Amino acid sequence: MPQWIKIDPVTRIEGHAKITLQLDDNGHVSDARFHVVEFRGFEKFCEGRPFTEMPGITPRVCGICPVSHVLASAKAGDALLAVDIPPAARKLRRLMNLGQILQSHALSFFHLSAPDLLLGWETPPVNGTSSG
Amino acid sequence: MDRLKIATVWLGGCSGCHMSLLDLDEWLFELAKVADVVYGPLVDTKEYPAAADVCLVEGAVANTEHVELMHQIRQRTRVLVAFGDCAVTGNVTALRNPLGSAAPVLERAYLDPANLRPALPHEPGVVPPLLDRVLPLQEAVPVDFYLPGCPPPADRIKAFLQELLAGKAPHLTGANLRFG
Ligand code: SF4
Repeated sequence: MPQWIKIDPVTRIEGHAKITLQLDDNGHVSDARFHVVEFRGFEKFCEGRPFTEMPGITPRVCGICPVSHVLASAKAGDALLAVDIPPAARKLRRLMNLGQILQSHALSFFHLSAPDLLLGWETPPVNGTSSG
Repeated sequence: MDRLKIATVWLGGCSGCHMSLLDLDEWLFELAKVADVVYGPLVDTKEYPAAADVCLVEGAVANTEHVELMHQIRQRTRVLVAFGDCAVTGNVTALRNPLGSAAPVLERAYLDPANLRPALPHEPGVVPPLLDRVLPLQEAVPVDFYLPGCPPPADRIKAFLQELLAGKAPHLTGANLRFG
């Protein structure tokens, strides 16, 4: 009998996901899938809205990497207006983006990965958090 | 006193509210002295515990699985908190509601840009179907407290949790009631 193994939800990752593994009659993996189960539809509901709203809306695509999305919509706005931003603004944007990379790495390491590395795989889930 | 069992969950949202919670930095250690985080995206538990004291719910109710999960969580949780604007009002997640159904957002993302075998996601039992109308949390289950903000600033979360930890009903006032 083919069998399914389901990992639901995948925890301590930056996002919402599940994994399903399908095993064949011999217990070998015949299919492995990663499912992203969060969908809101920014592609659609942003259409037709004032472009000035976008730097307020697009960062809510992801609270972990909001800077990437705010910069993308700010750049799209610049392009629409056909303007060049001053060098200081460009540097500020870059600085903000680097800040986000630092923050995301800290999150990924300390809160998401460190419990595995420091406490080991066998730690019970409730203690296996960054505060454990 | 027994250690407080705190759960968190993210529904249709962006994780920003959870990031704000983590922005409590050192205060998280104070919290860890009196409470355990028993369930949530930062914990490996797959099943919601039989009984939790507090659950912070980020995000709006946007798919069928969110509805089921929230019914289970409500039954097993003493104090349910709508955590952030998406849970309180629907916020960004509910911006698709005026379109009338889930079809327009799905088609725009999965069919319009596809040039090879366009298909809508269909994985019964795995990928939950979207609700046609995104709900703020209180339209799905009774909510005990509201903690607004997009995301709620870390100080606001701290003020809120401190009152809860002291056994009081949190009462936010002034600027702490602000959306956005
Ligand atoms: S309230 Fe704002 S920060 Fe929180 S999940 Fe919703 S969009 Fe993200």
